Amino acid sequence: MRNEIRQLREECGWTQKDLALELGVSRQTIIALEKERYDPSLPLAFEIARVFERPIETIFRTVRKPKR
Amino acid sequence: MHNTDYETDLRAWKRRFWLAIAIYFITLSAGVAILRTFESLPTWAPPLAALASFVPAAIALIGGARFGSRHDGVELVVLHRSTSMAFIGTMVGCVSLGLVEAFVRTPPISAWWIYGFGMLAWVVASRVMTRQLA
Repeated sequence: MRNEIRQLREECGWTQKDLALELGVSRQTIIALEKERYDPSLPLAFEIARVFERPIETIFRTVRKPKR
Repeated sequence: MHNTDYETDLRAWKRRFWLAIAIYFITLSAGVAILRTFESLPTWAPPLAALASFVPAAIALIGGARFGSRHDGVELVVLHRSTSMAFIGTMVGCVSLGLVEAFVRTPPISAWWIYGFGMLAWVVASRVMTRQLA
């Protein structure tokens, strides 16, 4: 899954630690999210959308694998 | 999901965890001391003494589960996946060992080896999962 977390965080002028504190998660989680290695749970995804005041579908988008 | 500071809550949980582990060892030591004091004990006494030490261990585990429910994140995924992998690996190892011991007359190995293998499998799985996800 792709996300816009890094861009949104930088637009807000927040550090990874600031966002981690806002979401109640570890900084390691923010790093993993920004590297797109970890897909957040649904509650965390909604919390991220709430923090950035953006609809969830503008932050996360799925990447469909091509059919064989 | 609450917006409590992750690091503060983690430190609080670690304190409770180590307190529960200390109680675990105290309970276990007390059980061993009682078993050594009385010579003619029923066969169910040693398992009961071991089971008593399970209570503080369960408290530590429940504390971990509650911490996990308060804080979402990559660590929870790493914990769940690595625990599952280590559990399956250890169980398969135990079954294989049990079959070998059933067919080949060898002295049974200590449970400490199984515990050691399980912990090692957990550490390795955690490292692999952390490298993959975090």
